[in-house]
Amino acid sequence: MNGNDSNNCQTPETTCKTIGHAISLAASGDSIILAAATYAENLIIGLSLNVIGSGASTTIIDGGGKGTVVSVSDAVANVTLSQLTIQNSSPSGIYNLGSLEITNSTVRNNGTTSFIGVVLAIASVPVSAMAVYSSS
Amino acid sequence: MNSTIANNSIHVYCSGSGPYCFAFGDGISNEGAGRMTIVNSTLSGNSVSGKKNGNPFGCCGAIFMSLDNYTSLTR
Repeated sequence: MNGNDSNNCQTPETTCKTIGHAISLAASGDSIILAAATYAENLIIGLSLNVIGSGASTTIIDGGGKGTVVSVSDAVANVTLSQLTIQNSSPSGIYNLGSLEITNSTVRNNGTTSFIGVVLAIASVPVSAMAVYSSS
Repeated sequence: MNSTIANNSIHVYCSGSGPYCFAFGDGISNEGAGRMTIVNSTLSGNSVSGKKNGNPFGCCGAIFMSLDNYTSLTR
């Protein structure tokens, strides 16, 4: 499937080439459906949005080792990422400032070998802040 | 399939360039005040690696969470 960023991303006949362009046209609450492909992009999501791939093994967003792959930049944004893989960032695969749900996805091979010359205020996280459980 | 976190690592060595030398990298940095939920997903191979003179110090492998947020890993 070949998209074009001059399209409006509204129909299968007018698909866009990049996820970033689709985000730029999206309104709060929209869903972006991704065809199976590797997308070499770094995305900033500043609104409530559903990003839905065609399967984690076939729909890949690759940061190319340059920057965060997906950033949820708005504290009031509700974002879902599903059925996709996010990989190859530096430093973070996903950076979330909002509310985020990740479903049926893979986050892999993210990290850095560089050093950051800033101080980050990192407090210890209470154990109660993290829950690990099975829903079945 | 349960959610899986495996083979994520931190290997950072730094010192000698001032009082603060910080390296970080991770699969997910969650600093949102809202809930983050991970369902039926895999985090693997996320790592920080580097070496600079001396003592190890770095953050994070799979997930970094700031205070006052909530992360849930769910089947």
